[in-house]
Amino acid sequence: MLATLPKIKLVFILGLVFCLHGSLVWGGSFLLSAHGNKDIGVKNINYQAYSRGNCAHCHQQHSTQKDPLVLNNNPFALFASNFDTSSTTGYQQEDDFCFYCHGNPSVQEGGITNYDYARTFGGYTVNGPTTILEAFQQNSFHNLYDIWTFAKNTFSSFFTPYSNPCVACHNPHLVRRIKANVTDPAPYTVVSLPTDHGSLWGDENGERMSDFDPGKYQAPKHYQSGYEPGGNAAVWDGSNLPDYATFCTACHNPVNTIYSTTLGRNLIKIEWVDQGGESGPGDKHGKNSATEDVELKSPYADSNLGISLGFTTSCTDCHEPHGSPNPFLIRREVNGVVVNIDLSQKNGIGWLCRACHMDDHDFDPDIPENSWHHVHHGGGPLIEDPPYPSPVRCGWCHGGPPGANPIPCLNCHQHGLDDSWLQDVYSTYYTGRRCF
Amino acid sequence: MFGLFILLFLFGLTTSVKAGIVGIPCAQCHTMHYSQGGGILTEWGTTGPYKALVTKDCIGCHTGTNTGANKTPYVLSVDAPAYGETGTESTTNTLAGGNFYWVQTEDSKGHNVEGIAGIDQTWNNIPPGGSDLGQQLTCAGRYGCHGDPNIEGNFESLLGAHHTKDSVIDGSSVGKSYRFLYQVLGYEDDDWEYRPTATEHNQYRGIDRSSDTEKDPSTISALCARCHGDYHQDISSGAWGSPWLRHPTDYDLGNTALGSEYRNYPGNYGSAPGAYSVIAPVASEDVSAPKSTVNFQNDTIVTCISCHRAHGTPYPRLLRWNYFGWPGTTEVNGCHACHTTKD
Repeated sequence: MLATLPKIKLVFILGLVFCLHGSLVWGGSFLLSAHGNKDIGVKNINYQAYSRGNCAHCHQQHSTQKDPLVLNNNPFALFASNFDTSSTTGYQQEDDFCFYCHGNPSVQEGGITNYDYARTFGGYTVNGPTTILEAFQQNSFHNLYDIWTFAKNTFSSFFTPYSNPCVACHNPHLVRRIKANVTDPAPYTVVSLPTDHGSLWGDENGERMSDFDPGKYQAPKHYQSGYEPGGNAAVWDGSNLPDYATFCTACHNPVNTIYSTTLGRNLIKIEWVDQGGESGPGDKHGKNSATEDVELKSPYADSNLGISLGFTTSCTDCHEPHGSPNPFLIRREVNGVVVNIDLSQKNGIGWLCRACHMDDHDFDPDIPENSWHHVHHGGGPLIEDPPYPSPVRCGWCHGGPPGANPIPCLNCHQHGLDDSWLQDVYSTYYTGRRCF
Repeated sequence: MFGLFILLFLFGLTTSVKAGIVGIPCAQCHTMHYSQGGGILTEWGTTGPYKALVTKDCIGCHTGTNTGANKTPYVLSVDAPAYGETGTESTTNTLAGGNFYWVQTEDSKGHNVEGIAGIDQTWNNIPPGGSDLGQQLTCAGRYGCHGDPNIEGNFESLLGAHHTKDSVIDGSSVGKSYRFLYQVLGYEDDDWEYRPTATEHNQYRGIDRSSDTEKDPSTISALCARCHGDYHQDISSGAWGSPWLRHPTDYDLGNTALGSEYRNYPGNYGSAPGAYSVIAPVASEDVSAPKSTVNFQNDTIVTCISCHRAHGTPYPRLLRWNYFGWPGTTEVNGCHACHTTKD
């Protein structure tokens, strides 16, 4: 009897511990994720026997699930190839594992609808892609091969040659259902910093746009009402938005050289954090914001932040994350304004600018939209520091009458550019001022 | 008093031995003529006479309900066994290998052993990851798991094993192999893991491999690989290691990064960090004694039976827990003993 007591005690204690553990089993990060959620998570139509949210909808422990006698040989034991590294454009469903669900048709029961940023968070419900795959099939897109190449060379701590390029930005075991929380997306973020792949980015204090440059982020207008994201009328300071500036510049920063197969050149390095003043370094749409004067539209002109100068923007204020019918992944709608960019027009990009900046038309409705004399040469009622006041000869720079010969906006207005273009045309007018 | 002494002596003997039979009357298992009083006894099998002059076949002897005191491990129950959620709870009456009860009605819930269940209707006689056996799976021998695989027949391949003195499990013979699994090593729990605890359990043999093709016949996973070979020898996508093509086996969690989720084994499925989990057991190279804790030094080796039970369970694919039902109908998923951040 005495000899058996310790065992009984041990069994009791272990039983108690087990019971406690049973009650302590908490919903972890995967169960909270969009993929692992038992109510709305993954449910592959080919593997109906498994509970919704189960690993098996993506992973086959022995890679023999669909046909038990046929071995698949996909890294990470996925049911299909993770990424076709020979695919650099014109994506099809089989090019990327994620597209099997996030495409049309979808193996996810009932399919998945994913609108673009302009629709989901900007409120522009006209047309646009309905799946992630469709987003990547547009005019401009994040080139997955380039992401894959860059990530495997840069973030090898978690990204392997076998990894899926989507994983460079997303951790599929953590991503939350952001599309269902459009007015308060930060706690339901879908991104993870590549330098901290094991955590979500944006869900915690200190990871919001309001933290990137405190007091400087004004949310753009929602297409329908209120502010982005989602038309929230009560929040306009980015405290509900993941800090996409920090997120995107984890790759797109002044250090990293990223080659674009699509463009056939290295991408422009983006200086979003530098605050070098009027001549840079640092983009004025980043922390190095306008220092003298800027003529902006609402909500910047009447910002609740109490500032009229010095705004910082989020990358997603202008860009789509996946793809866009516009070039450079520029959104179809920006600050509540529909944006259609035709780069065959010299001032095509101006349609983007005028979503936030006042053009001549805004000063004088008789002047056509997307004309920019005032902001460059003054003469309007509000311009305080035009860079080229009272030019002597229009044609020296314009090559002819300015109305018919607008200078291509992109000569100066790109990430990191100043008006160096003028040095080869009429250097006297060169100012060295950052133009973006 | 003397009789009590004898009984205690015998009890002491029978509880200290492993698989070898000692202290049981010969007639409990054998009959000289498969006849008694002109017929057969009710406790004998009805399809005899049997080889080795035994009264029943494998299934006949090993059918019953485990109580924790039984001297024969029962692997098939007449009535539904008590399995609980993981087969380890204090109310269960199944053993380490589970139970063949469920495979009788659902192919995927056990190994379709001849005499217990019909041929698998999905895979016929082709074990997934392997080649056609040519006939239905048997308990032992060329087409089975136990006994000498070089010898055909349940009885022939196990001859003498039940009488082997097996205080030392060295794999030199069937009788001296772990659970009569020829050449396999391991520590045999006295009661075959009847209601196991972190201190009382089998200790499975594994090795920390360095290549796909490395195969040590002493490991429990290598035994499975005799039939399910591709699941053991064709699992990495290039150099040995992640990303895996198939779930690794004979691979030590100690290979993972210090801060990785795997270093938190057993997650919620053990009494404390670094404890051995009977829910999702890991193997070790040293099997001299059961381990109650692990150190990620060749003692956290993933095996086939970390997830499966060889005989059967109430769950599809012979899984130890209701994986198919997670997370919709159960919170228990032993995968998280290793994949600790995926809960």
